[in-house]
Amino acid sequence: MENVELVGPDGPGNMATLAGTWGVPVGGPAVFTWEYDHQSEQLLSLYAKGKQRQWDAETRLNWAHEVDPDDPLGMPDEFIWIAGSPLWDRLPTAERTVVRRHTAAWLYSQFLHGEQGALVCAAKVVQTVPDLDAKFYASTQVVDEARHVEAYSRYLRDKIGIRYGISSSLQGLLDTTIRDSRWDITYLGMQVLIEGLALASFSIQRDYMTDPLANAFNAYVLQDEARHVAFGQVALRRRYRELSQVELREREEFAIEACWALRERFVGEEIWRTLDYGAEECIALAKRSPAMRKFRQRLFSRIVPALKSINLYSPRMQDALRQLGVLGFGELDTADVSTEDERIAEEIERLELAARKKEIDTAMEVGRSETIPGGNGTEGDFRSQARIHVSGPVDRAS
Amino acid sequence: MTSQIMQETIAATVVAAVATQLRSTPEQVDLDLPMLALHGMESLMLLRAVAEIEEALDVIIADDALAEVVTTRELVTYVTRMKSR
Repeated sequence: MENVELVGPDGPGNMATLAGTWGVPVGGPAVFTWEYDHQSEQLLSLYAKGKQRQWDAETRLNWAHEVDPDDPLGMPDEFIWIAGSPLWDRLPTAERTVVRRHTAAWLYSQFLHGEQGALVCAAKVVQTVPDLDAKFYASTQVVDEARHVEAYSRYLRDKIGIRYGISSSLQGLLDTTIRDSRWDITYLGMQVLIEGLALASFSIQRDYMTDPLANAFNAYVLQDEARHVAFGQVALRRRYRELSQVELREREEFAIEACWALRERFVGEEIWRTLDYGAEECIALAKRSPAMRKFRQRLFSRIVPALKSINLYSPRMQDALRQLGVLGFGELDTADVSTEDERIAEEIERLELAARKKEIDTAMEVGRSETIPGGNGTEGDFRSQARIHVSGPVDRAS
Repeated sequence: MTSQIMQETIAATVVAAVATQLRSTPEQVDLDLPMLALHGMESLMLLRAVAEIEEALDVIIADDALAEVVTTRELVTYVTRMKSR
């Protein structure tokens, strides 16, 4: 796609709000340490994984795959937040296509902006965290996030063709997370809360979208994100053992406020204000939709056990989570979920490589049969021409 | 406290919502099987049933409810408890 339609907070084409930059003051000192001996085997192990499991979206993904321009993610209707309502039933087919495209665009735009936020936060953590092991790990995360920004940006530009500005709820959370001079607040906001949002969103993309490129892309990103969340938990668990009740309470208040924002305000408001079918009705429909409930289940089944594991789980915190209707997720074991994320990504990679090999073998076979009579084709030509297909997800988890 | 009539209405509404998703009749719904084990039931269908129940009975079913509620009978009990608050 050559032209990308830009949609800002005030509607389509408002370039002033979409171009340029956003500056957030970053307080606090850049910390050097003279302690070069390693302190944490857990962090070192995550650092080793971070180094070993880098992947290049340029070559790992099949960008030649052509998506359906009317439905670039292969999004089942259940994941259109207003589907199934009388309003949706009244919309003509062409208008439903618009909703489908804008929903894909809004989602992937928030993924893109969120990944840039993660890039900035990870870079800040490299500077501000006192331990060298943590600096090492965070530096691999910087590269991870840059690769994700590169890939989501390309997906939006080449496959979807519409880009939204950052949603106010995500921008607010990023602002608080980056602005605070204390490294643990940046960790908490990014590694637990925003990464929780990412894990929930990407896992739904991986498990429910029918476009194979979207499935594979999100599976690979999820594999990286699982490491980031594990890092945040290891580092914060150590830190929060040292804090006073007053200091812990302050962190809990931040987390509670963020949970409310994620629950109530991440509903695609900008889509509904842009499409103008009656924004308030659409927002209300979105909040009640089964797809949004599925999203919230996945979101809080990642966030609540993480909060528990880092010791932000006082009776006051539990009461707040109960009011949100998500305390029950605290009993889940996220280690199992992370292991499953890794397994699915590895399985998709294995299937993808097998599919590539099969296609190349087929192309070479065709090449041999065509070159026998004296043609000019070479093995190399056919390798370069073989299209690579990505296999679909192996496990559609609930 | 919910009245006997209210309890019956809740039970009928919950079972009907589950049956609608399964394209079956309320009588065919096994109340004691895990809902996700009912033939043809998937997690999103169950969430659609939950949304229907919320609307029909004007009740909020928490996002974590399905972490503890497994069978249709348990869902009836849960909704009854919510309505009696």
